[in-house]
Amino acid sequence: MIQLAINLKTDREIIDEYTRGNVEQATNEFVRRYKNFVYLVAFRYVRNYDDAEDITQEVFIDALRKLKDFRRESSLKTWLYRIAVNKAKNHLRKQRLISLVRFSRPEEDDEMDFPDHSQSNKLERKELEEKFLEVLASLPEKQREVFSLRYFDNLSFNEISEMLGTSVGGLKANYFHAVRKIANEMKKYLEE
Amino acid sequence: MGKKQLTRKEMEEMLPDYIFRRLSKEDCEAFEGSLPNFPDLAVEIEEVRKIFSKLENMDIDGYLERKTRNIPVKVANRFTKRKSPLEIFSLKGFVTAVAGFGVIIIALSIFLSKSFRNEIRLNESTNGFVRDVRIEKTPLISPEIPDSLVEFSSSFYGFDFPVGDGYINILDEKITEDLTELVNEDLVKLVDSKHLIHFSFEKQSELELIQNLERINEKEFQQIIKELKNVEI
Repeated sequence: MIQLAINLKTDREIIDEYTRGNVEQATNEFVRRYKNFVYLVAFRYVRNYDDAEDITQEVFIDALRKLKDFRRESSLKTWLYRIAVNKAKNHLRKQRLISLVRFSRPEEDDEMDFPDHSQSNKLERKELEEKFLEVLASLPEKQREVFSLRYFDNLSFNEISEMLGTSVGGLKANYFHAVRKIANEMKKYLEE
Repeated sequence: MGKKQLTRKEMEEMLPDYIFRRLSKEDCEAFEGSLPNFPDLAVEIEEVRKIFSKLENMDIDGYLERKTRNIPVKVANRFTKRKSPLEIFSLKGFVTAVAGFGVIIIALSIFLSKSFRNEIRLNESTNGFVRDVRIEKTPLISPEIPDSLVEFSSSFYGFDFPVGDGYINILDEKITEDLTELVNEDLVKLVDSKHLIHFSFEKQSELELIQNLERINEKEFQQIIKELKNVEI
């Protein structure tokens, strides 16, 4: 017998499938759809590959346990964003505590080793990307988040407003300042 | 009728979307129509574009896809392994949950009582005589205690918060999070306020040794170093 994969299209369909008991496929679709988004959110906070992956898994397990009760007052993405930020912040608190108790420094930040397109400029490109992420990480949380959600995730200001609980006007101002700061810092770096 | 001229604030708010080509056609026309009024912004746009063009080739999606490739499988495995919270109300689960919760409460009580106790009295028997040994302790969190005396009990080092799968299966995760949050918050505040200066030692003699080491003068220190050279470790 040939079993056709169900191609779920919308968040609503995912939740409905899940509620109807088609857990495996709905779970798969749900995680596949949002894993990159959640991972990137987690990474922006913890800046460590393994921790970001652990947090991502925890976010989905948490979300799946509560998915049946999801009230659809916000989008799944917004809901996941909030869970991810909470988990990431809790994780950072724990890390801080552990690093203190064990007399050890916090783990050094992982770098995002983006693929290089040619060997000749590999090092230069890697350095540039690292610097970019360093600058991004140095921004105030609000600016960093609005920039990332808009620039990387292509979210609308309304969606970001719902996620961050800030007015659209405030977000636009934050976005502008984030872009300006990144550009200024990157310019200084490139001129060195 | 002339087109509406945008204010500087409006221009700044639209600038990033203009640079990254995310403005609607109408907004784009309005932005470009007003741009001659703000020559400094025109210069800024060119600079920002130049810088971001260098970053455009970052393959974020491809990178993320490789990093998160196995997450759906891992989540599915972990999710199916993890029992529903309702399952703890089976007899076995309930007993385990109560026992687990009791252990945590006892551990927390010990931790807190040790942290806040001012002194410990021990009856030490030596050669038939009973001596009263008094060890002074300083509280973990107390605004009256000078910074230098605030102690962090090393017993906390061995205290493992119930964040592992086993505990989460047993306990309602909310309880776990609340407990962790409670302790974390207090300790992080303590660290932020620089009240945490040094740690306790298992033996009083170890603490005294460290305290004495801080007081020795250079000559004595050099003598110790000299003597240590003869020690085979």
